Amino acid sequence: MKTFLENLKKELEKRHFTKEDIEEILEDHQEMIEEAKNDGLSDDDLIEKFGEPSKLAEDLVGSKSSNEETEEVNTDDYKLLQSFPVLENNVDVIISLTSDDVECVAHDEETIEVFYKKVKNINDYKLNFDGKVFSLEEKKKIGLFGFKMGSGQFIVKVPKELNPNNLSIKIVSGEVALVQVNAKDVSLRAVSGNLVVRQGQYASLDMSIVSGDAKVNNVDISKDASINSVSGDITLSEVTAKNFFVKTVSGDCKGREFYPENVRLKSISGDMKITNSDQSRIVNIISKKTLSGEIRIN
Amino acid sequence: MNAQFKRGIVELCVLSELASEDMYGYMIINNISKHLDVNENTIYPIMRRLTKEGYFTTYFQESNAGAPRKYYKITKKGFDYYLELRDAWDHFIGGVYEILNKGGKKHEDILRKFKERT
Repeated sequence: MKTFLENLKKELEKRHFTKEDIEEILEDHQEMIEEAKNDGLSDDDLIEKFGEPSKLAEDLVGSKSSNEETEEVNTDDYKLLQSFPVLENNVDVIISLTSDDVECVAHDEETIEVFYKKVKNINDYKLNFDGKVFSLEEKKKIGLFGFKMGSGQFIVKVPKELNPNNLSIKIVSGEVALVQVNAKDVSLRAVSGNLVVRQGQYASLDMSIVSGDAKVNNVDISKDASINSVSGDITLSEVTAKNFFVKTVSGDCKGREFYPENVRLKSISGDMKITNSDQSRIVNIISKKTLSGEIRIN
Repeated sequence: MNAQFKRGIVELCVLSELASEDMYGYMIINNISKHLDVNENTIYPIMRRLTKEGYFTTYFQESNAGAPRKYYKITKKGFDYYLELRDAWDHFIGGVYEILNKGGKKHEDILRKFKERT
């Protein structure tokens, strides 16, 4: 049962529980396991009774302390465009805009809500939700350059439990933020805009930027992650993943508390620097290639 | 059984256990898993969440068995919440039985009615 407690600790750390929370949960379990043993339960009985540490940790996420409460995004000066009731989770979320900013956040309601401000003509946008796929797009405009230059701001609030199968956000020059939204496969693309991803659990994450910057903080990826940048900088902090691939041309990549199991780094002239404090967590470097940049880990 | 539905029911059971007396973690889990097919990893997260939400407080008390035990005590807020949930549950389950009993109360009843129709 010692391994149970050790595994539980690892699973809780993975999910960014505070030190105090972890200590308390482990103490509670130590006590309950002792009681169970005094009761004459065998090791097999105990496994049956206490179950999988990963499942337990997952179920405990709802009782996490402080810093991880759902942040209320201020929508005071925004207008509500539409609110859709969500009856079933695991829908797809697709957002495709040109020069607008979009922030996709989780909230405690069972609805998808779209807010906007500074939008010149809201009729230029198409919003759709059929229960399976949610989409926010710009209507095709045939203009001189194919797209207009205005820049509005959108906030898309999704239920905390939504857990989309596919979450895709594409933007040309706007800013994208994805905050506290868990999803299966996430794909984010920007040309000159920045991408910010904070607090999320995904199966896969695929990010691509050209001249904008990408920031990823407090994110766990159970399978593959890749970030592709031309001249934009990449910042990774408190990130775990199975396989992580970073590729830049001239952008720099900085990592702090970045613990992928396997990592591949590739850059032409950008520098990469990763600093991790926990030396016991092994990061396998599958390959690192640079032409004129410098790659340093720890 | 649907996980969310199950959690709601287990929450009611945890509240009910503590409404009658203060208990330590293992005791609550044992009392509930004696009757329902749920284990620790369903019950403990609920106890913890309800404590965080101010429905329970905890205190330590020495035991004969060895280390001191952590006891859970229901608060006024917790008790009010229990009564509210309990009302909702009684109402719900009452409604469910109204519907089910229309089709017959026992297996034989249900079967007889079904045979009459076919």
